[in-house]
Amino acid sequence: MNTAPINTSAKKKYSAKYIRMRILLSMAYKNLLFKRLRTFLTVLGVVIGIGAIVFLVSLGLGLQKVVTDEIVGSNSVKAIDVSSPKPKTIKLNQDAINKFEKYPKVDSVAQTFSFAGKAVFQSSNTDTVINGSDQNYLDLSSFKLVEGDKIAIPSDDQVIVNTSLLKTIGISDNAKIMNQKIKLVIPKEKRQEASGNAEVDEDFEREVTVVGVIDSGSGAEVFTTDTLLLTSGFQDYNQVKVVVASKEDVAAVRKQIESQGFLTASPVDTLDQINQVFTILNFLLAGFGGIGMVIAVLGMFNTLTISLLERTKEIGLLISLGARRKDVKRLFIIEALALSFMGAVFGILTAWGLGKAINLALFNLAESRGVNDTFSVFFIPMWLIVGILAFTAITGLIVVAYPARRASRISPIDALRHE
Amino acid sequence: MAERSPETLISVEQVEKKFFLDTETVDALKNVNFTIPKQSFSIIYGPSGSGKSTLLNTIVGLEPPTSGHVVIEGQDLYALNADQRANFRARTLGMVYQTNYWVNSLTVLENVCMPLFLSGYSKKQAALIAMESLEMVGMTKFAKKRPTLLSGGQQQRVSMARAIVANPDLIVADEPTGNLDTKNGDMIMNLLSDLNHKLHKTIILVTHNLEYLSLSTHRVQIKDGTAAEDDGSYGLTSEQKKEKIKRLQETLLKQKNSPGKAPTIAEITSLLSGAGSPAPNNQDKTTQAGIQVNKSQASVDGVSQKPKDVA
Repeated sequence: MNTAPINTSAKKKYSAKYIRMRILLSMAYKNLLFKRLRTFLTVLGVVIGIGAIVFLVSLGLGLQKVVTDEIVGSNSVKAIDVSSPKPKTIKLNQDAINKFEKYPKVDSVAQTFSFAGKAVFQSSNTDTVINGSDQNYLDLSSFKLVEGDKIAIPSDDQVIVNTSLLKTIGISDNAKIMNQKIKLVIPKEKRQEASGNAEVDEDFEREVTVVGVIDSGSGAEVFTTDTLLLTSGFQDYNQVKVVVASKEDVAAVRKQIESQGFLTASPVDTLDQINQVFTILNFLLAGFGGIGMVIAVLGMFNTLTISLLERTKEIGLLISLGARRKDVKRLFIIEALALSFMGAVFGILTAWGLGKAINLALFNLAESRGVNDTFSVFFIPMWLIVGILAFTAITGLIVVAYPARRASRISPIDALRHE
Repeated sequence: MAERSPETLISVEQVEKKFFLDTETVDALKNVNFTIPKQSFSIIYGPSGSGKSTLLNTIVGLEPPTSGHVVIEGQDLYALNADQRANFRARTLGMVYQTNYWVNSLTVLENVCMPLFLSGYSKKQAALIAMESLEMVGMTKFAKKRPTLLSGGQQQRVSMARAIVANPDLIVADEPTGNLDTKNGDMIMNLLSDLNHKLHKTIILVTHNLEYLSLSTHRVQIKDGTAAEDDGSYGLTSEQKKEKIKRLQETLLKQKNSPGKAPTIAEITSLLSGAGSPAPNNQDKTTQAGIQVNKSQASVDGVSQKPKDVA
């Protein structure tokens, strides 16, 4: 037998005090690998729990994003719609607009007239809303351009019409109407009302050229310039949009405008309502996912407790060999964190993959129905990932608290007692 | 009362241990005093339930005594806190148990590394030293196996490797041969004996079995929670000793029939000095094992026996 003395010098040289974190990590890793089926099932539980939460919350957030982007994306969140509750006494005219423009934080003011009138094309005519809008107003209105170069009316004898109008006058090919002439008619009663002049005795009529087609809703609409109507004697605007520097300024400016007796509305109102609804929805979805997580947590607790019971002797041995109680505790904590971390990472990846797959299926479906916009009904923001990782880490720590405490209190004497 | 001296490694001073069970108080150790000399091969022996295990746990810092002190190289063990005592165990003490305990998810080599890990060695440093340890017990080829797949004897050898890996001055073996057959048991005893003789380790062997008493240079008898250091005569009268020698000789004569087991005079002498068992029914077993042990002793220059005590 070889009984060469052990080299003591090397040992003294490298001697540090306590077990290294790397070795604890490797021990935890090997133990999890040793019980790989159990580890796999436990992690699977967490994957399902976390996956369900992330999947459902990302669905909620994705839908919310789709809806709010629609509103926020069009400049309109910064615009306040102003109208008059009593057009006869509180007039929404140029004086009022001049006043609005002087308020702090106001970038610009856009205005529009709108009247019920008629549009005549060749032999067919239809009732329509005739809008006299300035360019600013058109830019703020998130219409979709169907024909033409852009949503703009360069001169007073040009108009943009919407697809609903074309449908009512029987034109199916939108391109056909381009550069054609149509006649706009506003009856004299409306003129009298808008100008405050009872002596106006004839209808407003004007032949104009169509320079664009837009999609603006189900009612027939024509957009002409505000100057055309102003020069024709119309004075009071029906609606004014006051554009502020940022979304945050909306509230203050609204107050000022309302103090003048006007009514205001803002897409921010809608946005707030939408966000409220979605917040509730997200909590509900997270709650459903949370049920899975609760089960996963119980599974994890079960695994750690069984592991503790199985390893009583092992822990007794470690302590009798010189492990501190702290080291034993750490070993358990590392294992629990490893379980929950793996669960969280794979859970997030699973939810992400599932979301992508479903989104792709939806997109293909939409494409086959003629929708060409890209959209994503699943949205996993960074804060959700960080939040989930933190949440699982905290959950892991809570779950392991009891087994780790018990492990560190194992009496090596009892654990190693002869059977 | 035991005296501390420079030659003393461990001094157990007025140690008492009481266990409180509901209303009952059990005095496991009653005013125990003894010393373990440096580089001695000490055997703590006594019947089951005599308090051996409690005493052992107290010596290695796992069981704080109700009163009294355990002083190891001038350091009062229980003046240290539990973590400090753990560190003390990792650095200065090697332990071998009757049953083998392992970290089941780790290999033989990693298990042997454990005491080094616990005192802060890196994997690489520890593995180098652990391989040397495994070489000493002839188990290097099992380094990558899982310890639970080995036989009892192999496990106990690995356990020895683990006990010596941190190069402790003191090796404590608690019934190390209890679950082994004679051959493997003797091999473990040889290892312990070699460690004592060649590497000058202090050995504390705890046993209820008196087969290996002949190896010892120092003995502590535990009986009903009290300890007595003895000189090897085990309190026998000269009449009793004579009787014992006679019985041993008879047994040895019988042994002669077994091939290769013929004892030499020197062996018989040393056997007689050490293998005296107060329990006659143990006689056969004791003798048989004693011979084998003494063979190994002969190969390592023998233990300091005191034939004059016997005579």
